[in-house]
Amino acid sequence: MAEAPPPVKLTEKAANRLKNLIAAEGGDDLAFRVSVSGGGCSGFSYKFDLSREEEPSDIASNQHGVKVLVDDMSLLYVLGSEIDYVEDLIGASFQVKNPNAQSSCGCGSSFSV
Amino acid sequence: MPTPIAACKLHNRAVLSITGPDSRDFLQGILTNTIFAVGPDRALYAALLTPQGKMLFDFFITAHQDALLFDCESSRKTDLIRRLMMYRLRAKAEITDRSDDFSLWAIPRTERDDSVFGDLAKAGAAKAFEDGVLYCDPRDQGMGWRAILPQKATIFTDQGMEPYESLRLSRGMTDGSRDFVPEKTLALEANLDVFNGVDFSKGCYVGQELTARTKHRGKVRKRLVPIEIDGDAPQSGTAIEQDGKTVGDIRSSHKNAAIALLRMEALEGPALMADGKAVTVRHPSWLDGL
Repeated sequence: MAEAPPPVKLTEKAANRLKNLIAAEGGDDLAFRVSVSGGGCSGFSYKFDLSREEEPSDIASNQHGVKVLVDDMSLLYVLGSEIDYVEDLIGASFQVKNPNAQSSCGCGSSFSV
Repeated sequence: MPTPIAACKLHNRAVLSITGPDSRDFLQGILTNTIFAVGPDRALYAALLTPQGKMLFDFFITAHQDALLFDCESSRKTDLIRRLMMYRLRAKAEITDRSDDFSLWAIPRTERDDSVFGDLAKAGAAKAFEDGVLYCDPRDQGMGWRAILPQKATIFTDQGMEPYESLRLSRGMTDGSRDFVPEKTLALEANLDVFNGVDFSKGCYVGQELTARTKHRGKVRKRLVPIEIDGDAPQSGTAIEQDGKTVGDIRSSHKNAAIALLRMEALEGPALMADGKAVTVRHPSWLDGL
């Protein structure tokens, strides 16, 4: 049986950046947590954290050497998303390509469904 | 026992409570006004918009014991609860319909009783009152006061909604979706800016981008304004014409007074007509300079 695809996909660039951040924090046991909260211009905002705690409701996956956690409630809003790390002249940031989002605000940190 | 005070029971309003440690952070991220201003001595007017900046719900928010109370439209309270739930996610905030416990009242300023209300002369001033909350209308102090009281309270005697409706329409104060059209009317078309309902310096909230853009681009092209009709007001939705062209339409009304969504340039200009009757725009002070 083929393994189920991860609910949220990390690009290799995003994973490499995260590995640097995790190393800088000095914790190999840190996982990358993606969550969604209410609020922001478009109604929902992404939240990224480095976390040591794994909850029973988390869906975990390992991608390019990074452990990714998504809680079951946030999952409804981000399922099928891809997280990339984009370096532009204006600045570098993690960006989310979310097939569930109808629109997002100018800075890309919030979205509507 | 003191003589009951004449007041208007607002049968078309409902009370929701929001409790829990994340209540304020949760609301701050979605509402047009800054929830941190609400306290035992301060009430607030605010709205929840669509991501496109259109009106969904407007309400008054007060603090009562450890809860925030929403004074909202009764007929749409279930939709409001559902919308708040949608944004709540993991935030620790309980949303409860308290309409069985509390009733809502307005005390129009014309019925002023200084011995009870004189200390709440300014818009938004609030205090604990008879196991509930009493506050001066945060949009317009000339409207007088509103109260959220336990159902068993006997301090007020109901004189019907008529005095409230008359005062409201004369001052151009709106009444929820009787005036704005949900998902159509922009926040500033519904006068949220002049009614102290938007904090333009707070961070992101739902619909903030368009609301800020409308504000900083200058003119709002149409607004909800008070009008007087020569005769009884025609029904909601009736077109208002100027030189044979539609420039707006009638919204809520009582007798010959109404609120109309009207193009601002039509305020200066030839006669306005609705259903063959002459229409005059009233000019409360908030309309100056808009």
